[in-house]
Order: sequence, then C-alpha cells, then structure tokens
Amino acid sequence: MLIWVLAAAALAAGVTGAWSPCGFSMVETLAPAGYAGRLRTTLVACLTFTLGALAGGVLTFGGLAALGEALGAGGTGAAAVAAAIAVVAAVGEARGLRIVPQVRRQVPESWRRVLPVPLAAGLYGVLLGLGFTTFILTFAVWALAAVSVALGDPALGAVLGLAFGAGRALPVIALAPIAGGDRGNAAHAAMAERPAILRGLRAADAVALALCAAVIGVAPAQAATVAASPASGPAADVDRFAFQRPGGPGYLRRAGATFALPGRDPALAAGLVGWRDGTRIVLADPATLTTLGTYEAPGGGAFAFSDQWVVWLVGSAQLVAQPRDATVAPRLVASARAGEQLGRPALAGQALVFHRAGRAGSQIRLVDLATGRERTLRSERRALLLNPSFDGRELLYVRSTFSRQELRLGPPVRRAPARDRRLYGTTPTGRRDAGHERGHGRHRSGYPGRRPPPLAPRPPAGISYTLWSTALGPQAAFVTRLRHRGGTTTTTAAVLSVPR
Amino acid sequence: MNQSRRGFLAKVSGALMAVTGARTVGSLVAPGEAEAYHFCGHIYTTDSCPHPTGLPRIDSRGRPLRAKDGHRVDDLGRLVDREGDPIDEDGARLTDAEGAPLPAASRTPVCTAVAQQYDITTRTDGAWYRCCGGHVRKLVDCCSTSRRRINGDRSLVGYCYKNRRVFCVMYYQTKVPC
Repeated sequence: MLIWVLAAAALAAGVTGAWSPCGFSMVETLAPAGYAGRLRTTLVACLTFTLGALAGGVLTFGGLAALGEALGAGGTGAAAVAAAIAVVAAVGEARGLRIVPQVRRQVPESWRRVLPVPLAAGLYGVLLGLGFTTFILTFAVWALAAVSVALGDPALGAVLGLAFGAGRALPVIALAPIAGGDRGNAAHAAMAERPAILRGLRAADAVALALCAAVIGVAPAQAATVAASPASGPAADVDRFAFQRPGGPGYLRRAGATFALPGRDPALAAGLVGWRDGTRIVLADPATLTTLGTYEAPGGGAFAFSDQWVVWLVGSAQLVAQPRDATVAPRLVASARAGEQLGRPALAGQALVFHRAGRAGSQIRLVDLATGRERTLRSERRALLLNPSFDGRELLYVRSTFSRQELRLGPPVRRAPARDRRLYGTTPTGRRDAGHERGHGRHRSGYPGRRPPPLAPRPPAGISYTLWSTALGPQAAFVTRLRHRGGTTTTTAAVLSVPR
Repeated sequence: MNQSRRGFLAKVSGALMAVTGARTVGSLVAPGEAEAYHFCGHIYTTDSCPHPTGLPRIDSRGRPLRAKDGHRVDDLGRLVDREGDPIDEDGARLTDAEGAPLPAASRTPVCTAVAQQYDITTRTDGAWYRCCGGHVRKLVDCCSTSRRRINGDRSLVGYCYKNRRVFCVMYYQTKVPC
C-alpha cells in the first residue's frame, strides 16, 4: 500500500513539474517544428528524454533513501517524522502556497543547439528527473525527498524516483509530437492560460500527500524503517538497542549514541548487556561495561539470558542452559532431530522460547527451564515459523510462506499463527512466475466475473529477501532482513524497526 | 440433368464430409500444441493448483518444480538442492549474514498441499498427454469429491475416477521429444 501511494504522489509531483519554465521549454524543444525538425527525431528524443528522466529520478530519490539507510535513518520516530512532513506539504499544496525554498535555475539552453536533439533530450531528461536542478512547482518534491531519507529504504526510493521521472516525462512526450498543430496549440494555450489546471494538479498533489501521511502515520505496521545497517541479530531492552555488525563486533545504542562492544552476538536483558568473547559469554553493566559474570559456553552460537538463566546455542543443533548463579553445571535442554535446525534462543525468567525448523515443518517451542517441560506454542504446515523473541507477555516471530513473509505478535499460548497480529509484511523469499506461460494469458475462465484472485507480491528479479532474527522492545519490534543477490556469495543484512 | 444433380449433390456432400472430417481431425490435433488457457496443453476452465512459484509444474512424485527450468522448490518457493536445503540461482546454500545456513522447509506434493489448504480430501487421478514446447507433457488433475473447484464454481469430471471431480490442475513435463 505504502509503495503505491508514494508512487502516486511522486507521479503527480512529476506531472506538476511540466508547468515550470523548463517543462514548457522541453515541449518546444522536442517538437517536430522545433529543434527536432521532423517527427521521427521527435519520437526518438521523447524516448531518450523519458529514459533520462527515469534515471534522474532514481538517482535523486534512490540516492536519498540510500543515504538515509547509511545514516541509520528510521528508528521508531522516522515514520512519524515522514508522516508529519507529508501533512505539512499537503497543507501547503492545498492552499496553493508559493514554493519555498525555490530553485531558480534552468537547464542549459545551448545543449539543444550544439548537441544532437536526442542526446540533448536525454540530458535534459536527467536534469528534470533529478528534481532539484530546476524550478520546483510543488511542495511534494521536497516532501518526498525528506520521506525518502526518513524511511531509508533504497528499493522504495528507486520506485519513487521512477514514478517521479515518469511524471516529468509524461506531459512532455504527450505534447511534443503534436506541438504546433491545432490540438497542440490548444493544449499549450490551456496550460499557459488556465491557472485552474495547475491549481487542480496541486490539489491532487495535496490529496496524494495526505494519503501518504495517512498510510505512513495511521498504518505504521507496514512502514518498517531501517534501524541499523549493515546489522543482524538485534536485541532490545527498555531503553537500549544492540545489534551485530556482520563479520565484526556487536554494537550497543543508548541515548542516541552507538558504540562497539568488546565481543559478538550482543544480548540485552535484566538491565545488563551481554556478548560472546570466544567460548565465553560475558554479562556486564551497560553503562560502564564492567564485567559482572562470565560463563564458559563452547559452540559459538547465539545466546540469551534473563535474571535467572543463561542459554546458548551449540551450532544449530543443541540448546544448553545454566542458572545465572552457576550453582549447577550446564545441561542440554533441547536438541535437533535429523534435518532440523534449532533457532536463536529467547528468554524471559525461566521460560525459554526457540524455533525448530526443517523438512518436516517448523514449530515455536517453549521450555520451562525449572521443570524441563516442553510444549508447542505455534505450528504450521508448509510455512517456516522462525526466531521468536519473548518479553514474558508477548511472542514475536517471523512467519514465512510462498506468498508472504510476516512479523507476527501474539500471546505465549498455543494457537494458530493466523490469530496473531501482523506487524509487518513483505515479499516472499522465493520469486513466483507470472502464473501463465509465454504466449498465454492469466487464467480467468470459470471465475465469477472472470476475476481470478490477486497474485502474491514478488521480490525484484535476482534478489531474495529473508526475514530472520527478531527482537522485542517496549515500543518497537525489530527484525533482520537478509538480502542475497544472485551471482554473488554475499548476504547483506539490515535490522528493520516496526512500531508495536 | 438427374445425373448432373446427383453429381452436384455428391460433390456437396463430399465437401461437407471433408469439412466435418477436417473439423474432427482439427479437434483431435489442435490440443497437441494446445494454446488454450494459461499454459500449453490445458484446454479446460479449471485453474491451476496453488503452487509455490506459480505455474503448477510438478515432478514424478507430485512435488513442486519451478516451471521455467524444472528446478526443485520448497513450500516457500525457494530453490532447493537434492537434500532439500535452500540454495541460490548458482547452487550455493542460502545463509544468514554470518554465513550460517538457513533452515530447510517442507516440500509437500502440490495436490496434498491443496488438501491441507482447502480442508478437503484430494487424490491425483488420471492424466492426458500433449505435446508442449517440443516435449511430451502430462496434464494431471488434482481430484476430490468436492462439488466446488478452485475457481469457486461447480467442478467438472475431467480425468478423475470414481465420482471424484477436478479441483485444480497440474502438469509434469517429460523429456520425451515430440
């Protein structure tokens, strides 16, 4: 939903840009009666102009989103900031206020005289697509730029840029081929002499921005933002957040400052911070990093602790637990069956929660460390239920099927995943095909009104996303998003934040 | 005159028979490279069974394959190796950011998954073979006793046996050239 609303706003903003001095100039420049000289050249120039505008849009908005991601944009307040910016811009558009700050620059006029028109058109397209190199006709351009940074999602930024570029190109390529003719002259006169059209477009921009604000602000469940990147293995406490830098140390973030820990796989609980130092688990004061306890825990896996227990993963096949006071030796509390993996442990008091996943299916299990009793909290056929987090009251986990990956939140009792609240959803890891073979169409026969059910969303070609480890904070839920690009062996990771 | 009339009638009836015969032959031959509906060979109105990657291609045991290249996929639509572990397009194991392998998922026969999803009893019954893409393709019905099919309307008998009807369709692409 968010992506469509933002794309619509960007498209409207791009179209509004046609009323700029450069927008008008492009129509004249590309017209057959203008520098193009003939219709064929006009059509080629329209194509290069469009490609340039699309590239420019992606550069600006995709780049701003990448900048946001690099700066660690997002966090729990980012969606609210983005929504507020959209509201302010929508009010400005609805009232038709003068655009400030304005960019009082134009594209170089000489290009159309000294360069082949298609080349000049392509370069003009890039400049107009960039958005901030010429006059700005709508607050939406500023607002969408700010939203791109705030949400910090490069894929979303790229889509936004494509829509903006398409919007900038549409009026030009629609009008240039007919410029000079009766219909072209009439259209030009209407654009130039009827301010109501521009006012209408700005009103449309206002509506689109208001919708953006509503989707971002009212439905924050879908507006995940990047909390840290590159990062994985999140941990959250009342006012602290920690994550693992892939291949590096763990990091702790508190009071807006982020600093490296002297170990890996950070964990937070019971007012303490923990990390793994080789085969040792170290628990320390989060303010001073003074060591308060250590546990010998060979196996190298992730761990969790509470005020009563420490539990660690050995490989991905065994979970071992030891009381915090170390009065009893470590003991095995769960082991994987053949073809099965155990997931990252989560602890609240003496309740241990983890996943079992394999070819026979997946489950989320709870072990009472005091009694050793184990029971199933969630189970589903043909789905993966992964990496639960648990704060003693609610259970957060990833549910992955062929049509969707979701972050779900529910109580620690046995029930169907469908009954849990969906905090966030994204495309599945696998990429579906079109549902029909080449030369055939979507199957419609037999369906009422010839309307088959909608197809599931799919990830971009060549890229797979996997929602992975989770953490549960008081205000937000966190999830690691793994990104694997085909043709490479590298998996990158970012931690997303979703308001609870 | 009579002779010529008989001759004319004979020619007309011969022509009609030829047209009828051609239609009959056409109806027999046409499905061989059938282009009807959403995949080659399928000429009825029942839609595909839900499949992790879309087009309902299956292996000889009814488990899902990616349509474009016949690669194994699991219930999540991920490519998997012989052991069922998830891999990328180059055959490398999918891992987390630290290089630890991601867990395997189930790989359920498509018709069995239909039974679980729609809470009905299903069975893979009959089949028909057609020529598609230069290879023989087996069109397979996922049958049930349900009077409704996946489209939501009344089900057809199709290739199913014993009062069962077609709930949804699948296909198995052989390596036999045609």
